[in-house]
Amino acid sequence: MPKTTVALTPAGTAASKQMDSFNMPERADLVRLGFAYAVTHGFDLDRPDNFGVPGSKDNYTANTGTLDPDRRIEGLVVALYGELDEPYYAVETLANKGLLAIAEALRSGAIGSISDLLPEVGFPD
Amino acid sequence: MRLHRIGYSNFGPFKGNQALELPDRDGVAVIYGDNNYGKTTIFNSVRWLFTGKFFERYGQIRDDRLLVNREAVAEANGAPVMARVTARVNWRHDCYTLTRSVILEGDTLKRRLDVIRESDALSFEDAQATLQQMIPEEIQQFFLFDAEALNRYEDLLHDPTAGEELKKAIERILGVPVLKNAIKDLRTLTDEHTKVISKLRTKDAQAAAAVKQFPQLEKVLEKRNEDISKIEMAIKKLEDERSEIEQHMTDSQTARDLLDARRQIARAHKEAKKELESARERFKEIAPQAWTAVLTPTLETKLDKLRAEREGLELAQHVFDREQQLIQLRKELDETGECPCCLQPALHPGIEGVQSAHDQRAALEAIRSRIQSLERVLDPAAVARLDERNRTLQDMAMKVHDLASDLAEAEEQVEGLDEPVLSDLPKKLANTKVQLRINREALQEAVEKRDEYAEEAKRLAAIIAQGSGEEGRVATRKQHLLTSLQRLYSDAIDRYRKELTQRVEHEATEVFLSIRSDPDFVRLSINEDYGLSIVHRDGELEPHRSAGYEHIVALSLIAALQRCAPVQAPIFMDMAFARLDPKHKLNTLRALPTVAAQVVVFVHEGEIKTLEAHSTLQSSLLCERQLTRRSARHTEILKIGSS
Repeated sequence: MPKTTVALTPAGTAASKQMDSFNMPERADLVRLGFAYAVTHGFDLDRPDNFGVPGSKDNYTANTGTLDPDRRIEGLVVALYGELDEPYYAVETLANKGLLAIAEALRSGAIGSISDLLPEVGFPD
Repeated sequence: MRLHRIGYSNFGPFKGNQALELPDRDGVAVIYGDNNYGKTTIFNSVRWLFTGKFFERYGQIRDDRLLVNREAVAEANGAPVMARVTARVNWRHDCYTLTRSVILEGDTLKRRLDVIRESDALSFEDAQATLQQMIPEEIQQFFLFDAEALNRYEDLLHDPTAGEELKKAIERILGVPVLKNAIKDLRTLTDEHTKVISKLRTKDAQAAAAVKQFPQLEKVLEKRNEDISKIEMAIKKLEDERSEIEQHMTDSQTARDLLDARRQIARAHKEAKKELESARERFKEIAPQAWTAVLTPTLETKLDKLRAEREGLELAQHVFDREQQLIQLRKELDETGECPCCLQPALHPGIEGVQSAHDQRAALEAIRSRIQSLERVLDPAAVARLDERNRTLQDMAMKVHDLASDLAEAEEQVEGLDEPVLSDLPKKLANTKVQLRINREALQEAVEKRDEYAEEAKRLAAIIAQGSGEEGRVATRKQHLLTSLQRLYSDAIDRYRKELTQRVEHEATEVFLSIRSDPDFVRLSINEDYGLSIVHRDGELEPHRSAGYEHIVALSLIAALQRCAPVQAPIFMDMAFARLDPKHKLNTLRALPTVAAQVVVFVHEGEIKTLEAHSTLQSSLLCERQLTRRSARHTEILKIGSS
């Protein structure tokens, strides 16, 4: 049975709640953002011992169809990390790790707004 | 009027008994004190002593309870505490002691006014009348003024309507109303005399008919005069009202500016919040693309790498296809022994070591698939779009935050202000002006009508007089005399006004030239509203002048009024140097002894230093006092140098 949901761990849920200033319309947008941040920073797919259990009672859980309606995320994770048995398991890992890292960067003041996550926008010559 | 001493007892910050003594000669007294040490309290205490009104900032009248020294109240522990201002003055060859006091006992407040002439105590009514005569309330502005009050003199030049009250006050200090009252008295005498004439019995038939008509006409005239008096009273009331509102508006200008500023900030804050909400919505429209934007550099790097790999594999694939062809040719060569191209016998067996690479095609397909997956996500334009909208959003959020801080500060500044009353002032002023206009028109109409009837009465009186023999002729001559006197006084007023304006212009110019530093400004020119303009060396009027020169011109006008006025009193000046540069400051200080016999100036050390006062005023320096703070509720008036 392939994985049909992507969920946040308690720590991932708490981290996502610190990102109101990002003005994301949906929690799913934050999950995708966490995933992208993790990919950009080259996070691995291992789940450390303290990773936590995704999707327990009060934590955010999304169907893969909601999170990735056009399956671009699935394609991306496979393209970047190679053939995987459960691509959405990898997405879940990366999203949680990414959200924790963003929350930490916000806490430390390394970033202040979503613009700090974006690559430098250059001006045309 | 000469002031010898002002004493304070538990008044404002002046705890216990303290006094400001002034030597019995002409000159300038300088009172130094930092902000909030009580300079303005001394300034306002003089007005309170004469009128019982203590003006707060923004023109509001302070509750008399708040005049009692707070420390004294706390120490009294419920026992009564008296706050008192006493002045010893010489006026019209008599020595007066003026005392106004309030006694606070719990919540009860008692007020007292005592005026002692030589050693006789005056009744309350006489005391009030005496104070009003010493410095009439309407002209106090020429004796007690601060920088803000000086600003009003500009109105005389540019806005005759706004400056009307001021012009009236100027004429009052110059004594013009005395002549106006004389005309009024003459008119009353004429009316009374007309009644006398009517009582003369005539034997003549024509006169008898006139006598018959006269009482009727007399009644009409009386009624008309009553109406005129009523309208005049209404006008006086409205003028007082307007004057009060204008004063309130001037005094509360700062407060109303603060309220306006608060309203503007609140409006800007509301609009900014709306814009912020709109920016947030615009950002949210594209926020779901944020993850692809974040990935852009990673994807671009990865794609560059994969595309390079793809190129390599495609090249390998091309080589592989060529190899396939060679393998085919080799097979044919092996079978026939001759070259399939030139049909010559094969000299060499062909290419060695050709390897098949079937798995390369699969690898190429895999790379193409990965590239496709990455390209589906890549959206470089999203970065700029997202960044632009997010920055707009952040800027707006910052703007809203800043405006919220400004608003909080503005709210704090207007706290305690009576906004409905202050905001209503312009409307009230406009209404009063409309009422004034209507009443003045009505007055003009009533006067014209009355004069028509008066003419008719004069005609009848003449007829009666002709028929009443010598007595009638004498009465007629007397009436002619009274009418001529009225005309004479009317002419006299015009002439007196003209001479006065010339004198004021001359005196103001003299003071102005002693203060101004610009040699191109050669004199002042006065208009009929007592507005003063600066005249340039080339004879032209200066169209614009700086705030500092505005101040100097106003000061020159006040000095001229003091010199020309029948009322003489000490002058109290608060913040008189605030707008002046150092040079004009010293010139003004030097000119002060020529402004009035006694001048009391309130300054802080930043405006005038003690050494400057000494060297500039020299023998005209009456005394210097320092306001020294013992606590927030206790200030002492000390001689300079004492502790």
